Amino acid sequence: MKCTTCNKTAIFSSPTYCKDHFIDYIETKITNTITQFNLIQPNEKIAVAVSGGKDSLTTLYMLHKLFKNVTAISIDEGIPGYRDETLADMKTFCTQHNIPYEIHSFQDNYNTTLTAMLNKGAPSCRSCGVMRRHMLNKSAQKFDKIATGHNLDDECQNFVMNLLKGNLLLCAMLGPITGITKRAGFTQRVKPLYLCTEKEIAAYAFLKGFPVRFKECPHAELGLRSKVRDALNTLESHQPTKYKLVHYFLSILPSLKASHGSSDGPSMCTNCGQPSHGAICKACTVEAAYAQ
Amino acid sequence: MKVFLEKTNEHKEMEFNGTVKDLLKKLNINPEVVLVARNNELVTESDTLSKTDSVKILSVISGG
Repeated sequence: MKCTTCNKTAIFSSPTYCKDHFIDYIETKITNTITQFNLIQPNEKIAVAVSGGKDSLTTLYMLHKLFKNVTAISIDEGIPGYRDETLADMKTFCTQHNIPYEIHSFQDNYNTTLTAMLNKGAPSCRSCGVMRRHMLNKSAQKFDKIATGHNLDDECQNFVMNLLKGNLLLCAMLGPITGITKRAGFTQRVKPLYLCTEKEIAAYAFLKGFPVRFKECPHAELGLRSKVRDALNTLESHQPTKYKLVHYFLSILPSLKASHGSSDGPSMCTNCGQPSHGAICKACTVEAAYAQ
Repeated sequence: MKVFLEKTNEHKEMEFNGTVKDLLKKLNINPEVVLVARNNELVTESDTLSKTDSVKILSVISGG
């Protein structure tokens, strides 16, 4: 199979490009996504949430290439044999590319680790996700935006999962810029990889030689997400579905945001002062139950 | 042919001649969720593999 642009040997089928034209295609798509959805202004201070996976590394690499004021932030939950390895890879990557890097840990913030919380019966992915988002927002107060590595596959899965739960409010919070309205104390999150598939980003990270290793979190749960992901990938192998789904979602997103705007709520947690939908935020509730 | 499956960290030795698409079908792997590299270069589903090739099948799904 030949590249549709230069006739060299193709390394990717859909779209059919050689190595150089594929890299150019991905970098152009990310740049255009930032412009199309007005994700980042040139003078803004950007935190990139990095786990060490292909998506966050690609986001960090591209934003560092395009903007001046970019810092990488990792959350260390305290998972021995997993997070310590990815943090070491991230330190090396940031040093090599001269990117400022901050690590914020559960231990320093909550005086516990995820492993210790799980030993007290905390539900793994749910409590970890709540605490990580809470810490990320707290750690990124000095930044204008938080960029995450969410890709087109993630967005499809989130949309379908929220539909299956019958929760249109959660759908309204999706999109290339998360949240429905700007809220005090909440640093807006943006998704520069919004229109790139997981497979495209995996190929890009491979071609760029990023230090990504495949290792599953030892506490990962096979919940609804893995079932939705498998179903979407099976559909995709028969006929292209993901792009259509995200483009459909983008077409209804303005009306979803308009109809759920008042539900976003500007309340603050009375315990920690972070944005919350109730009097006490979910992170403080989890912390009280499992971190004391 | 030497095949390495990254997700399961499994090495296989197989008698195989055919396309990447055929190999994935034989291994019951959805092409949507993997990349295939021959001698550390990415190949497409229509590329033909031979029994002397060393192939890596890389998962595109993040590890959680």
